[in-house]
Amino acid sequence: MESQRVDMYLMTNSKFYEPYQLDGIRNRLLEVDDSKMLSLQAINPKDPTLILIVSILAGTLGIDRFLIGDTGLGIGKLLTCGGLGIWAIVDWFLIMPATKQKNLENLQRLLY
Amino acid sequence: MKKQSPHLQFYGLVLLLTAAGWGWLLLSQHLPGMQESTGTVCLIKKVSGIPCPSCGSTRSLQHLFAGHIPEAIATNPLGLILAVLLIVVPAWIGKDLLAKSDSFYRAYKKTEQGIRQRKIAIPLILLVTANWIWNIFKGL
Repeated sequence: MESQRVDMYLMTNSKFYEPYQLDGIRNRLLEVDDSKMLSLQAINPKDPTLILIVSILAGTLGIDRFLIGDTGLGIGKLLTCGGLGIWAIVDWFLIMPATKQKNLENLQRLLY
Repeated sequence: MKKQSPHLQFYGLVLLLTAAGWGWLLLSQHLPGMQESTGTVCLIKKVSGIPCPSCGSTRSLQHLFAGHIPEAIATNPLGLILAVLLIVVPAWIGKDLLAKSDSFYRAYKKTEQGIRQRKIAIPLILLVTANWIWNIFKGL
């Protein structure tokens, strides 16, 4: 992929990934061919800030975990009143890095 | 440093959660006045006064382990699912750790994928919502 397109993609999508992941993503995107660009638009990464808001408002029901694709952990939170409230509070701090990690995993599934 | 395999990290987390579940259950069993004195632990109920879908699970489990199955179901049917999970999951993980296998992790991933399918997810969401409405009417 052309470096200009890759940089443009990273500029618009950098908030979905951890800063230290961006170098690796850039290198991999430069290696893959242009046909992947359309699929890249379709993977629809989750916004960590939006997930954090969901976690604060409805984390006790596990909706934040359901949204990022951690269905099992979401059910765990739902069945235990958000882990007696403790897990729900811990997730306010963990959910943003977890969302970025899930976004990276989805991207890797497409690129590798 | 060698990185721990994902299934072992997952087993650690699940064992921690089940231990916390058993700990909470034993604590509430031996200190019956605890919940009354500390108030509810459910954030939703604390903030809004409305019970969440799993409110009453501890009471349901207490009824179940005392042998009162109808009372356990009437309090919150999710308590039965929790009881099965609290017993089966640590035993399965223990068996996996002894046999150096990852069968529980694979089963978990497979179930997770199955639940995400619309034909399974929608009935489950409806069931949980119905249980939630029932909880609100019961005033748990």
